[in-house]
Amino acid sequence: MSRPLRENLELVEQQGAEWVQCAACGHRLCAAGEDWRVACVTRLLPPGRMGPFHRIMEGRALLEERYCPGCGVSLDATVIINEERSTPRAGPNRVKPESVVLEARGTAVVVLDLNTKADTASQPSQPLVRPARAFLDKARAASVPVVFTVVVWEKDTPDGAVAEALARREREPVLYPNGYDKFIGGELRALLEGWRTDTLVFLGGAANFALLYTATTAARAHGYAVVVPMDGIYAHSDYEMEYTLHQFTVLPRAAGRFRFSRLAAVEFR
Amino acid sequence: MERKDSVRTVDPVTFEILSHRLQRIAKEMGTTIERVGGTVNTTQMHDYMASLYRADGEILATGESMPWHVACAGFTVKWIIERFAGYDGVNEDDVFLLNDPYVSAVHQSDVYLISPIHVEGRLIAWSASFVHVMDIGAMSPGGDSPEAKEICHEGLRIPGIKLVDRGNLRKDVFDTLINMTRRPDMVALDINCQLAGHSVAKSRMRQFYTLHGVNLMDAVAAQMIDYSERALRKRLEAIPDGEWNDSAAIESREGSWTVRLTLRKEGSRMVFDFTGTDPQASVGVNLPYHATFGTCFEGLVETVAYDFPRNHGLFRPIETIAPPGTLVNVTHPAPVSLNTTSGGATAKYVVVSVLNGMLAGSEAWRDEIMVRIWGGRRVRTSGVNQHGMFYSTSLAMSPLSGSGARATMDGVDTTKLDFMTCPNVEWLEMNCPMLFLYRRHARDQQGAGRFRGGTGAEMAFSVHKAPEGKIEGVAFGVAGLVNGGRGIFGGYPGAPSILVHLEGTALGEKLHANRMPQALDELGGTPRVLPYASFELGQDDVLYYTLGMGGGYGSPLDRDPRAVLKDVEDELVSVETALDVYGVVIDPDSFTVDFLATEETRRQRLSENRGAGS
Repeated sequence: MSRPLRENLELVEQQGAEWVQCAACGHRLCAAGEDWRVACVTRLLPPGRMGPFHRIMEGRALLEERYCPGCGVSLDATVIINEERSTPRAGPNRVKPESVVLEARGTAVVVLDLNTKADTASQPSQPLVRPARAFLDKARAASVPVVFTVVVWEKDTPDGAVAEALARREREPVLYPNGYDKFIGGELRALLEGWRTDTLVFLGGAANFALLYTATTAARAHGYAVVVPMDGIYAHSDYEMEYTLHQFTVLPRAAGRFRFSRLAAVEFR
Repeated sequence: MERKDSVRTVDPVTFEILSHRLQRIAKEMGTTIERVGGTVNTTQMHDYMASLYRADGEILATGESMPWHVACAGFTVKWIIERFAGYDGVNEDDVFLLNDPYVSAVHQSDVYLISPIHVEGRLIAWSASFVHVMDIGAMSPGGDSPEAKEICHEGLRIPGIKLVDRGNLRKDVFDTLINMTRRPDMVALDINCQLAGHSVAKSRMRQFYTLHGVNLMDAVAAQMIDYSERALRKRLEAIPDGEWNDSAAIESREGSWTVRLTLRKEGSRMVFDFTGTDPQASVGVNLPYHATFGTCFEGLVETVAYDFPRNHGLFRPIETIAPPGTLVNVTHPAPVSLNTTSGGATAKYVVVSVLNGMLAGSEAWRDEIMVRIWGGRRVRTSGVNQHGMFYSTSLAMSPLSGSGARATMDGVDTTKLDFMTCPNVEWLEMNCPMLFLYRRHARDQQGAGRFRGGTGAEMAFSVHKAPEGKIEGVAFGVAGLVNGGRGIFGGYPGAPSILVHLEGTALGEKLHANRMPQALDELGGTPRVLPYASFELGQDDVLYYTLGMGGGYGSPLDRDPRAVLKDVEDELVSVETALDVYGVVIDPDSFTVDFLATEETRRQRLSENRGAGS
């Protein structure tokens, strides 16, 4: 049984399985609920491709087209405006926090490397712990699952536990992936799939290590929507924080999956 | 025929006859405004609204009116009931005036009149109207004020005043109001034609209710609303549930403001959630909450409820969430004067976009999809005209935008498909010191697609016989690179709508030599693309203006080559664009399609599409 999703895309249900496929050739793109765009062939084209008068956008915008890998039919066309391309700036892109309301079902909070060291006043992550605890309690109250990571070399050491102030619950897993990218090893991905997660909220840091690598993989490789509460992450310097946020705004084909907010402005329903 | 207990007791034939009569009264009220009116806004542009409300303020019947104003006028009626119940009362033959965006209006230029209708001393209904008046005493002539930084810069703001007391015009109030504008005579014409419309509506309603009895008419009114609600809910229940998102950004030198919307539909209930929209802007593109609600109402009426009677029943299944302090729920004292053509156009666009997403998932409804034209740039001019009088006019060319493509056919050329129409060039040249070099279909600017967007107009004009040798201009509308129609499902957006000020052209020499330029490159001069700004158009300057172009539906490579050929023959698409964008090979001499070459070209492109990417 199938039903249309949009032009040239349909949702098929067969023997309990559901997937999205190209209606023109039947090429299977992804499981139902996943982002079909990730499975497309994507091309970035000059604006003139849309017609001669669209060339006025030259240098300030690109046409992003997505095609079915099976038959090449166009599934989507979007104009991506990038003021920075035509107007070089001296500094990084600045992001604006926005209020965000997330579905509790489908969202998970990933707390990056806030181990017991963060309980210590001298640590740059320490100021984060109190507001992060309040945020975690809000998530817990909404039944949003929480997972913690700790750097692998702290495993089985006194600092191998999650910061006490965060009051980790028994059911909240602690992972020790061997890399800045916490998806390495596959444990995190399996966990999130089990929770049927499509949106991740990241806390912790450091911004330019664990957060940058993990959130990038989350958005680019796995197609998660990513929410970054800007007062819920830390870096060792302003430069490193600005650099990280800038990167999230320019990641090709993934920047659109990032939203920036503040701890108090993220709500669950 | 009539029982006391239930609205369902009105028999169907009686219901049909009487309910249609109510619709016609609303229509006649609007026609009266148009016929009695004396300004271009009412007589040529349909920049007005006329509708009827029940005694409690619920929408009863609308004429051919902008639905979001119908919604806002509903809020206005309820506000007037509340405001005047306390200290002055609502009396027979009163008329109230209100234009405060921080109460229930959209922006100050749209002046609402509200009047109660009584039969034998009993309040049975209200009539409401607005006219976009010719001036409102704002810092910029005509009202749209790009430089305004707060509401107080944007003209008179009246939170409700009694203009007519028990049938007697309060001349002192009337004179005070019109005296605070730049064209008291024109604003007086605007308000007077509204009063005429209300007078006709009141007269017809009284006759009608007296003839059929107030109780029966009350039952019909309740049943009309109930019918629309039930019909809409039934329709919504048959459409798959889900959640759809879209966003659109106004991009200008002053900043960038994004409207974000999520539609959640469950059963027969829809929630339009604007959470995530950017904070309110420093320029007047902001919308008050009731106007944002009105955009949802309008989007609904345009898409899934286009064939239902427009009344309060269509309100009931929808909820609108708009966080305070954002562009879609502005807080005092931020400016709003530009909002109808910018923030309002953007909100309407995303509302229809998410509704289209909803319809795309329904077998029964997917063919009803029509891409909404977002907006485009607008321009207003003012100054001393060739008759020695001060004038101010919105050129109101937006109806010449191309409409968006549909799921089964192209968009309509130079027809925006809303409630406004465009003044003719001859009228403009007769009343304003302007000379139009051309106003025509713009070639190669519509959004390509399996079904292409409607072609919008392009035009150029200059100052002509202006006693001061110049006129003032205001550039507003939706600024940005994708500000006309966006494409859908692989369709392309239209080319950007732009306003270009060419200073110091060779126009004078050309005209002296009896040559009317037909292209910009014949004119020379220094071009400047206008942001939100006031500007001065001097002698030998030219303003070039392109309207919004409709967005396309589906991939251009799927377009019937014969349709592309027809567009080439109609000079809407060039031979080069036919090949570059549509992959259709046309012989420029014989105007025939080379079908074999076209098939091969398209096959190659599909092959590239399969193999490209990273």
